[in-house]
Amino acid sequence: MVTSGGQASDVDVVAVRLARQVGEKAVSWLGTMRTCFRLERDRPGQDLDNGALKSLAELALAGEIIRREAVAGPHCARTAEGLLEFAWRELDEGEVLYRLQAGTPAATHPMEMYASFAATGHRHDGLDRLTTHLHGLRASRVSEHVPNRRLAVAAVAAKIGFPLRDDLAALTGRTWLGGMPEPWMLDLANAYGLTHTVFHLTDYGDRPEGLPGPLQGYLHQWLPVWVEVYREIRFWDLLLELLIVGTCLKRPLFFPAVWPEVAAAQQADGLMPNGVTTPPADPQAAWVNHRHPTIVAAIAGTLTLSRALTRATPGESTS
Amino acid sequence: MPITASSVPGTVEPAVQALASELLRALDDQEGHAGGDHLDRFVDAWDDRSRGLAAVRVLGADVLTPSALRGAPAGGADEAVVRAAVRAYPAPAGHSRGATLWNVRDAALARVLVAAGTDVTAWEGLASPRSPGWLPDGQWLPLAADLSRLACAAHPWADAALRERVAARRRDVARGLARALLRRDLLGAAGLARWLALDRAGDDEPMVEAALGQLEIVGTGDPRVLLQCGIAHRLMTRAPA
Repeated sequence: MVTSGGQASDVDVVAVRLARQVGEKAVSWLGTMRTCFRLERDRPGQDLDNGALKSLAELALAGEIIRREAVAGPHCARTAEGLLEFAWRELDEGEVLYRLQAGTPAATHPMEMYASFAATGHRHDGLDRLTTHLHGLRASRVSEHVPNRRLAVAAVAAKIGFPLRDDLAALTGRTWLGGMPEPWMLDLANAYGLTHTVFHLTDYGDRPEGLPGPLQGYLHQWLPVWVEVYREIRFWDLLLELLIVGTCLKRPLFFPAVWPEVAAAQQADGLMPNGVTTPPADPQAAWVNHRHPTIVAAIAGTLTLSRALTRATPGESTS
Repeated sequence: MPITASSVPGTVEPAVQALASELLRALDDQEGHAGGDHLDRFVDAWDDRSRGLAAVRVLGADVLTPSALRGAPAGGADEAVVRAAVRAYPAPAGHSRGATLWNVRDAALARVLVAAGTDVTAWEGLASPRSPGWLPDGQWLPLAADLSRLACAAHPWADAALRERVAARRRDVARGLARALLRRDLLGAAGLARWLALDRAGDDEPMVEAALGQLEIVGTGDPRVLLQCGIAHRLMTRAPA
């Protein structure tokens, strides 16, 4: 349904335009700031800064989703492709991740960082062989991760192409979301756990059916509450992740009333404030605390536009 | 007069808190408070009678609901106190949102009185009843905001049409309850839990009980919160009308 109203399930043309604008400005800022994502090259692989590696992987995730959804304008799409290639080059085309995985075989984060590259055809033979071997070990099924992280590893393994060895329903049942708790018990840590549970089960909205029906219903009931609570306190980083959750549902939720506030909070250069710290005037200093919310904004804008187009296209299923 | 008094010194809030404590005792009937003239005694005991009457007006129908729920409706002296409070603090006229909420509050008060056999037609200051068309349609947030301020209208003698409209929006009321708890708005949460308790409908019952259980513990310092919780529990255990 295309309307100009404010129901969470409505497609609102003004809000969708704003979501697109927020996403494209975010991508533009990431393009401008991409040298900040560079790895320090004078240290051996095992000592690389995990935060810097994680940021490159998140950059690749945004690039992967923008490529997959194919709704970005030509300039934005080119920038996103450039960011994906840049991130892969920074990782020496997988060699950095390979050395990291070889040096810390019990760790799962090198493989997790590999996912978006592997999904976009950026493969490293040695890393493929090593992760295949490690994934076959008993050890890979007993990592003492929090439940939503276990789901992340299972999701990444599927994305790289390994056969599913985990009981996804059992893993899901152990997450906060899987327990369908009293909705007022959501706190920050569990909120980020919840968003990632949805991201991993649906591959960031690519497979909405990956989220079990009861959890779809639970989110339809309570996501509007959490969006309202974090909108009110202007916690943009989490709010944008919750907006992504809305786009990952079989019947997506769009929250049109929220997008004007997100758009107003975004800086003219595209930086998305996190809602907690004030961005310093110096762009390089601002990058440190605002790369994450800006990457999230790029993904949220893209998925909102894409799902809205799907729902607004005659003949497409809306259920 | 605002429906929700702030706790600024010199306001009516201390009297409201004291009256809520009194009503909570009446609800439990620990000291034979139910029925009789406990409102009259409360107002007389307050050093400034007008402040006592203001507290009666702030709590609205809730000054009568505890004793009515125990089947011991207010006596003549208490009715006279309520009538004096209504006269001293008449509902605002007009069609503003605030005036509309007063219509609902006073309708809730009148219905408890009428159920006890009192004729309120000649009462000065009482707002005229209004059909439940005032309930916001569509969005859950304004609905929950209004209902949390109108918790005193959630009682067994409430207008059937109003109860039906609220029952049809239980999912939205529950959203309001969750939001209020997340914002640590205990009084708002207790009021919305009370609306859910009024006409229990299956699937959300465990949530209502869990919310009330939490509110009764963390709301220990606020008699108004405890009064809402106490009434909500009575509503849940009461046989359907």
